Amino acid sequence: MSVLIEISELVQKGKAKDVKVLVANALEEGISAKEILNDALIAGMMIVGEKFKAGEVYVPEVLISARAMNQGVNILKPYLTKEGVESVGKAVICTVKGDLHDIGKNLVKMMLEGVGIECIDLGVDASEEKVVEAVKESGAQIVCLSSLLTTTMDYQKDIIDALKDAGLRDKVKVMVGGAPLDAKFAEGIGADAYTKDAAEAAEVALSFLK
Amino acid sequence: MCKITVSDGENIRILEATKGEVLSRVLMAKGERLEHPCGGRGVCGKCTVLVNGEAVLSCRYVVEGDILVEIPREGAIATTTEEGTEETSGNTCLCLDLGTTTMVLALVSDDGKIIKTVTRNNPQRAFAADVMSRIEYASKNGTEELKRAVTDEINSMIESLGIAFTDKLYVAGNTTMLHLLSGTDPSSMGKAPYTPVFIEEKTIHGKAVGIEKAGEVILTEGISAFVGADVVAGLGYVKEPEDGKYNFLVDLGTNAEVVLYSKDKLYCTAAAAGPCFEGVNISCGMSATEGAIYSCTEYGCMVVGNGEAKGICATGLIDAMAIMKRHEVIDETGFMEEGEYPLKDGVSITQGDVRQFQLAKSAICSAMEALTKKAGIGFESIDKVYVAGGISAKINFNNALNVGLLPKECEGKTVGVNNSCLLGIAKYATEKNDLSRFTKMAEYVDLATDVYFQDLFIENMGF
Ligand code: B12
Repeated sequence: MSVLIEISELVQKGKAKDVKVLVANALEEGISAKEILNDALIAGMMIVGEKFKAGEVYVPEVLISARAMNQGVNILKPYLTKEGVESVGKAVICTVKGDLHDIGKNLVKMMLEGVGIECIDLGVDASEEKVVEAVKESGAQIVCLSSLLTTTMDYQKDIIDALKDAGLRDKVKVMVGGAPLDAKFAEGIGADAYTKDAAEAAEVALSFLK
Repeated sequence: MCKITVSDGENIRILEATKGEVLSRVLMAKGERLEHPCGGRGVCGKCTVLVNGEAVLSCRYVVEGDILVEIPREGAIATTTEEGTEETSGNTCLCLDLGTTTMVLALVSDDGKIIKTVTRNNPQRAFAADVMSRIEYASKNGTEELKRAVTDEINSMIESLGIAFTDKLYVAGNTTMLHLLSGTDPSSMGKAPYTPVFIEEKTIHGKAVGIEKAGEVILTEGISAFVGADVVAGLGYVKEPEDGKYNFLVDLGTNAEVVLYSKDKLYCTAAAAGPCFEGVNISCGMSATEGAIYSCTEYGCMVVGNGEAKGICATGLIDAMAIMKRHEVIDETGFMEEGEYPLKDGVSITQGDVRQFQLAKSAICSAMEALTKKAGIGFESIDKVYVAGGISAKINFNNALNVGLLPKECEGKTVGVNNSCLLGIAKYATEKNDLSRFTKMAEYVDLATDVYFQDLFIENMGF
């Protein structure tokens, strides 16, 4: 079995320690960091995403896999810089003001990272000023807003309006999500996309970057 | 004016509406009972009616002309139960357990005995199902409609107990319910940091809020926005632990309040399990009414009313999960090889149901564990685990422990206290036991910022 396939499978099983060892081995074998990232780590995480979408694995399994992937990415980081590999794009992500639920947001972040998108995570309870500033600073192409409460979902619109006022709205795609939302709500507040789950979020985000 | 002919399969009524009005609001304003769990956002589909033979969401339908509306009987909320017949003399008072879903009014004798009760669905359900959605509704439309719905119902409940007027009506309920009853804007509890307008005991005049049949209405005290007077009343009813020991009081409901208390310290929180225990978000889920599977064993399922199974309620769901685990229909991550597990008469459990259950059970179990860590104790210091909430009457505790709804260390310590809130208010109304004792020693633990909760929540999701 090629080491890349082996790493991909270890990511799927969430074996962080083994992933670290094999990534180091692969580098020693002379495989490029870019190849290890795309064909092993990201490939493995994509399969986890598909299984999550199909209901075959759930939140804990995704978190464990994401952790394994991240450990691998950490080893690769200096090599990726040396090879001049850049992320496919950047996304600012947060849970909106008044809301502290972050498990769903974290899953979305991991899935985005799982397809190679760099995430600027503003955490929970994020205000519109914070989002605007982060977009300005990072030049992100995507903004992801999460909200789990009926009482905080309207705040997503405030953030979209603030992006408009700052003249940034046509520079970013805004994606929204969280259990109380649906596509109709997303359309109503002028978001570019809504997805039901994190795996789909990553697919849509990727399509925005192409 | 548009003429709206409403038929529910039994009766026909004619209503009037102005062109441009939203159908659900017309129906509700005229007392038609439609469920509206999503608060009229057009997402839950529960307010579906037939307009001229075509199915529409009534919260999204704008009246343009004369129409025939057929309301499906199943969707209509209508339950009333009355219990107890004993005749009474002497001083009595009324006590109300004002729940988000159901309200129970009791006639209580001066020695604290419950003479008679009447149970109704909370009519605010027609506007929105859970507490948060009701806060949202109130912040957009004001509190008046919600207040009126519930005070009208209270008047009617008092009447059905055969009482013309009561001097005192004691009410316990969650903090939002008490805000709405007193016409207080609950908006500040809708967003972090969730500050209630009032939390201490409050006496209002019945007349002032529209409860003409009561003189004084006493709203008993609570602890915070999400641990309310209903929980405090319940604490007054359940036993105290011995010196140096702790008890749990856990409400298996949507908000899922969890309290860990000793003689001199009390930690509390809301685990926010979600509506899974009310049958919401479960593919065949329903409340524990006629046709609900309420118990499952290896030999078959028991159905409320003994007729055909129409769905499954929380106690049945817990049993089904335990059986599925025992027979390895689900693995330790909750994965189902088959994707669906049939129970009876077309009622089955899907992969999605298992996932919803995992969130709810882990929230409760993890909140309990997080509180013990906060208190710095182990489960050996736990004396009793009182389990409240409607489902506690029929719950199979072995199964609940087996699927990890309660930490396994609680084995042998569980006690179901179905109506602790109502009994607690009755006790307070007659004995004036000191409830402020609990609120004074209470510490609210915010799980969103708790250092242990998140990891526990992920860990406890498995089986
Ligand atoms: C866990 C939980 C908590 C934890 C949160 C821990 C944490 N760090 O996140 C704790 C206990 C702290 C908590 C607290 C509260 N909670 Co809470 N909580 C839940 C619970 C049980 C599960 C939520 C969850 O994590 N789901 C799993 C994740 C993976 O799913 P998800 O978030 O929906 O995310 C997925 C998708 O939506 C999507 N997605 C999410 N975000 C985004 C973003 C984008 C851009 C995209 C594209 C997609 C996307 O992808 C994700 C993965 O596929 C739900 C009930 C339930 N059974 O669902 C209640 C629930 C959400 N909570 C609720 C409430 C009311 C609260 C409280 C206000 C009060 C209370 N009763 O305690 C507090 C407030 C906390 C706060 N300040 O914000 C309510 C909301 C009701 C409503 N109508 O608004 C719920 C529904 C429970 C209920 N009472 O009915 N809660």
